[in-house]
Amino acid sequence: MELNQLDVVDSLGIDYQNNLFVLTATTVEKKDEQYSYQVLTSTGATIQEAVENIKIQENKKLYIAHLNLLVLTPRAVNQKLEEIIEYFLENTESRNDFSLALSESIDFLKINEQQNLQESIQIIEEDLGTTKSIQFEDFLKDLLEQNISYLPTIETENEVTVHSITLIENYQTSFHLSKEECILYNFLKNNIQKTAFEENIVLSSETFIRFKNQKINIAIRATLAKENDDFANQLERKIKEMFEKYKEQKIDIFNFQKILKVANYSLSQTNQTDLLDQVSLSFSIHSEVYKNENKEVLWP
Amino acid sequence: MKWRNLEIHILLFLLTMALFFLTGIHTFSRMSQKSMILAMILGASMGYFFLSLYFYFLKNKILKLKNIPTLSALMILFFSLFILNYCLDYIAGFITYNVVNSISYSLLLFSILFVAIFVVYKGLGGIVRSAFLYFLTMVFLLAVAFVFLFPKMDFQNVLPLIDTDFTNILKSAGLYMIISLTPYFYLPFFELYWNDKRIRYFKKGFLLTQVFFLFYTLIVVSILGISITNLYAYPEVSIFKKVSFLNIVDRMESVFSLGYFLAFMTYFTMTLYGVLEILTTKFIAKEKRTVALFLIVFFLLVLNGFYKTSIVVWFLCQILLLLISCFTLKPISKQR
Repeated sequence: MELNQLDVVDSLGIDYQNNLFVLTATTVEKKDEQYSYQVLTSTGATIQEAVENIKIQENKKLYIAHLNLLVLTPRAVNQKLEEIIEYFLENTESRNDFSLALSESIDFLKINEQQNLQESIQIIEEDLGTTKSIQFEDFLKDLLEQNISYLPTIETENEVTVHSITLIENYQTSFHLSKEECILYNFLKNNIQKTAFEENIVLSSETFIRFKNQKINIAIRATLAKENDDFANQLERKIKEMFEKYKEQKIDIFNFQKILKVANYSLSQTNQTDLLDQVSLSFSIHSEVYKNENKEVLWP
Repeated sequence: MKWRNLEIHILLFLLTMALFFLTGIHTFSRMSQKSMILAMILGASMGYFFLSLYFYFLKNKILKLKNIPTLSALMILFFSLFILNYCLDYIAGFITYNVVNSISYSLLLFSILFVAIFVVYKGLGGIVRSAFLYFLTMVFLLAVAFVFLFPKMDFQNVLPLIDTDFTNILKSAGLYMIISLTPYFYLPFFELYWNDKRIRYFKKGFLLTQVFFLFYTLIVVSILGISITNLYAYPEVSIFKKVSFLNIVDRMESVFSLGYFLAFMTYFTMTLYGVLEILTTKFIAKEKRTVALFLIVFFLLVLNGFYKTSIVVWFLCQILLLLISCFTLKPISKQR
């Protein structure tokens, strides 16, 4: 098949309304060393049918090997997540390395200025820690192994912004984490590069989680912009509160059960809800102040 | 013809590789989950024991193909056709899935057969020499891929090492043992004299091969995780999708999977050669070799047109071949 017979998909939105899949695909084409984007929409009883409808409209085949971002709506997730996963697993063209996101509506994909959404998610993740990107394969692995995963959430009400993450449990949307909860989640997942927590500016952070003396030991080493003796206590208290909050709802928000199962074979044989009650936490949080030794001008 | 131990061992390595991936890492992982690592160690140990036993009986003796009973030869020919049929379909499916999606099946089938007939026509020397070149290509490709894959390994995905019951581990170990021993079915074609030095060399080679596959499985499971390994048809190729370096070395999975294709081709050509050798040793005159070769290909195409060999039938045929060759081909003593 020739290149001019293909519509190379950059981002794809999938919604599910009135028993029909609604597809919005942003395709990319290179003309005279410049990229031009085109938005295609179609509907179908299955994803394949919707894809075929685009092919009939455009007389071109949708090529998803270069897909960067897949946006799903809560309706699509709650009603058809398994079918969507199946479509990408069975499609030989799909490389399953694209990022995922959740949004109430996929209409924002029709606006051409929103092409760098995947990059925006990554920038917010790296600079603020208030969201976390996820790739299709990791999302699937979490769902298969722990029955719980998450999707970065896109707000589209006034303007398009990336806002925290939504938990997906048993192939259904579950809780929407607040920005602070997302920062704590990223702390635990060793995913903080820069963030603002309480009144502290965290410039870097490293987290190690180990099973030690029948307890889960969380060791965090953070570099702060300003000294704060209370940082360790604040962080410990907030993590505990968040863990307890979700524990009451039988949600293993930090995947501690996996750590217990890896460390202890007999525990791995018990079912998940029993295991969560056995989790006890211990903390060793150290913070240090960032020293810029290359600074040429010292503040008087 | 005088064979070097290294050449034969490289051929055995490629045959083991083909058998391992034809069975599929996902077959082992679905059977024994994360315990597949232990199952492989157990299977390799059992394989080493049986191989030592086999070499004990072969010591200072030669295996010659012409000593095979006619009935056994007929059975080998019959079962080999099913093996060739499965292998042909698998290679075609592998290329369609991983390399080129839209290609005619018939074109693919005839291309594979054309290459195989050409190599087989050159004789065992041709197969061994091409296997040596295939091996060098594969080592280069895998070495490059592994350099980029090492940082992506997460050993949490492999632990705990025991997460299923012992029966499943034993089943998986048995399956692995058969796969690791099956390539030794091809040794009689070389008519080697089995002195102590050669036996030691082959035992070491067997262990090195097993260490490689253990290491390979560890890489696949630690990168993908057990649930994704269970899910994919080709997890061994899927890991290559993760090879990425500064957006320059990217989307190279088709290139890296060439190594497997070469291993499958070695297995296919060697089996085709085996069938031809048995046919010309027992039933058709050596002078009519070309006719015999085209006769096999004709029967293979007819079989392929009517019947698709399943993985279970293929595996059963492979076990039967191993048993027939072990119990009916008697080694003969000969002083050097």
